[in-house]
Amino acid sequence: MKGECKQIRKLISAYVDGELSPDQKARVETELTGCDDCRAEYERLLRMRALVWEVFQQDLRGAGERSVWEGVEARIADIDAARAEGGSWAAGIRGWLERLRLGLTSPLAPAGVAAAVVTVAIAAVLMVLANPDRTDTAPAPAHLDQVALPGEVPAATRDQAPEDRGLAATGRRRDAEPERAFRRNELYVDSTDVDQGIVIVDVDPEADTPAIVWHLQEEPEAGEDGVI
Amino acid sequence: MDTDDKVLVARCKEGDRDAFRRLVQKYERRIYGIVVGMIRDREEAWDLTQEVFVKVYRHLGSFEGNSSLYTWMYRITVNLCIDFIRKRRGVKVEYDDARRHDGPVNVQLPVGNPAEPPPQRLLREELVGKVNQSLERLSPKHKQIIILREVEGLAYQEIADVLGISIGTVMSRLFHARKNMQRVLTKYLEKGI
Repeated sequence: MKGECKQIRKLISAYVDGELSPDQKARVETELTGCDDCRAEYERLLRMRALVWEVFQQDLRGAGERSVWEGVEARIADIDAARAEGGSWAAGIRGWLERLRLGLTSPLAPAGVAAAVVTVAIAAVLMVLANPDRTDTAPAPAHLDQVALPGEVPAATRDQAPEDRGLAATGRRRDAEPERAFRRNELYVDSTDVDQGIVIVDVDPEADTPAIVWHLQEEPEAGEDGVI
Repeated sequence: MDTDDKVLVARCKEGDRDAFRRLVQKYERRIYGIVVGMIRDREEAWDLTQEVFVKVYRHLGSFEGNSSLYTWMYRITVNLCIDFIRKRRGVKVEYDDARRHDGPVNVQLPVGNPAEPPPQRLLREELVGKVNQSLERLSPKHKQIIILREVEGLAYQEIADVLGISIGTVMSRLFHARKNMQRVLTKYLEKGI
């Protein structure tokens, strides 16, 4: 293949999309007129596009006759109901405190939560240490002032897809290496606006994409003498 | 962000269920198109499209409008599709001749035009099966860009915005994606077929 043909063929794809500059377009058209091989390549590309288009149209056939809303509505009704019932860890802890006050539960129960917090912290450190080659790191939440307050999303990760956000917060953008990122993140961590000093750990049963999301507690305010 | 979307999102955040219904209805076809293009299975695509909107609903509170709503939803969609494909790869499927020749069992081949003489119809079905196979073999990145161009009909600049890449990368990625498809389809792309 001639050098010019090689260059032109890289442009043919954009040519069929109508995305070339006038100069590039003129170059391609000159080549297509004078080179049978390039012309054949152009025609193959047109045929392939037509076929792909046809397949996608088949995919979409009947799409207008169905609505996803009914299914979505039923599922979000469940979410709303859970929210309304206060089915959060905050409510759970408040409930546990209340049961403890009434003598209906053991004071050792929080040990489970504490153990989970420690486990997740260790897992996060190991994940960061296990990836020294990463180049797309975001700051790991080493200090409380680097992370979001309860209920907030870290500024640098706002408007990312939820899964991306979780992974960004642990130092890896998911879209950079999705397969590796998946394997390394198997827990879902969340916090809530309970009283100061409590970090809630949750394995989200609804999340199909397990992710680590660091929403740590606000650092307690220091008193006038600087003592927390 | 689109003004209409801004209003809808604001209303959704206030708990307006009807606003969310409108948002779903506005985007369901586009999202479905992406999902079915990515996973190549129409029935599963309905479920997954619902799942996308459920996820949107759950996380809309954290969406601040710094990117377009479509871009944000698109990323959720693609992430869910990649999850799905990854899980599906892990599921062992019994060996089946149809699978060997026509790609995944669940891919629904179009029935073709009954008026066409049988040989042409068979060839057409085989051809469409091959196109499915060539799409199935693409990497997620290549699949995404083909879908954005061929299904969504986005211009290169729009694709660049959605994927957060340069126009040069869009051009090069599309070129390579199409080349990869062509490899599978070589013999079917000659004149007269």
